[in-house]
Amino acid sequence: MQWPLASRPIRPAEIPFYNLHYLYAGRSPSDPTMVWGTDVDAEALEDHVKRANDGSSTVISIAHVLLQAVGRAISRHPQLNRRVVGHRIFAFREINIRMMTYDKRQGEVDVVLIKNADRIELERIAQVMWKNQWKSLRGTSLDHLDKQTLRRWPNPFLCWAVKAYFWLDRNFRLPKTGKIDRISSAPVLVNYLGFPGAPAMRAYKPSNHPDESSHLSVTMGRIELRPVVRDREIVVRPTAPLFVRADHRIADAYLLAQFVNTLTGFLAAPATMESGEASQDPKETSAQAA
Amino acid sequence: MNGQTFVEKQLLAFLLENTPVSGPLEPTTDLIETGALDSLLVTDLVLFVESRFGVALGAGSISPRHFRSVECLARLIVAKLEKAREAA
Repeated sequence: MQWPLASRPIRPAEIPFYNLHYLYAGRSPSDPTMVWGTDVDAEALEDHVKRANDGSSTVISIAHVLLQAVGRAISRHPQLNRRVVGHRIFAFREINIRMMTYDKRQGEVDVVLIKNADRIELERIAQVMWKNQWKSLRGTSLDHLDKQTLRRWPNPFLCWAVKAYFWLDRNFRLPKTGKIDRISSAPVLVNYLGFPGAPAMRAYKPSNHPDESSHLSVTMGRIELRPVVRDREIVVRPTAPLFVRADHRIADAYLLAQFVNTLTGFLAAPATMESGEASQDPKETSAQAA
Repeated sequence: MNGQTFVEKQLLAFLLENTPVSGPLEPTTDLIETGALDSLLVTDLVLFVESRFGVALGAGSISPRHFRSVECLARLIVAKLEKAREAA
């Protein structure tokens, strides 16, 4: 059993007033959700993925680079590596990320938790993701096993248990067993919706998880050729839409903008992530497929 | 038609049906370069290969060496089929 959150909450004196305003305000009608959408120049990103695949033992995709970039960006803005519990804010002990994948066979979303995402290498991220995808196909991913366990419960009991657990998790700093509850050990949910056949994305509002553990959500859409202005000239560039949702109880628009800038900077020049990367034993980073 | 060509044709037919790849799709088309290879397609491909050829692809097989093109994947499938035939 682990305690993903630090033992003491962030002192109110350290929290900006308007964040406290949302933190203490009633649930309705206030909505602390902010979404910032922007475009990423994806030329270097596509080149980076091609080059990475040349020397990799695992297929590396844009989704994997997105995961790496989010982990690095959160480490630059540790104020975002937090969650709301009741009317208090706690910092996470590690930088973890949860990524959604889709299991077409079951018609279910599969959640993967990447631990220590600020340090894990790109190839390792890809290995964890593919391993989970493969296990998901066989119905043996941790997420599948959890769902099988939960589906065995009688429906009324399951509804009551889910409702009760989410209430407890929203209001109390709970330890995590690393099983069904592990996914709430991450401040951010990452979603790559650039799969072949996906429509061009102009707006996207990521949903908020009921336990409010992931106050951040990063969604990237399909790369497409779009006209952009460069040096006062209209040129056609590969461009990807990026939408970041944040919770005003934790971040303000200025901090969100800084995070979005860092993230788009990493995605527009992914090689800069590698240059600052400390060598890390993959076992130490202990990525955990959910 | 040899085994490699047969497998390539089957894979191409599957990909043409399941991916909106712009431009012609050849056995040597780089699936990574075209951006066609994402987790959903890989999952579909693994399932298709298992059901059509009875070949199980492990998580370790999902490498650029095997998934870069239809030709590469067909080579892997044919090698696995031959290995299974020899073992039988």
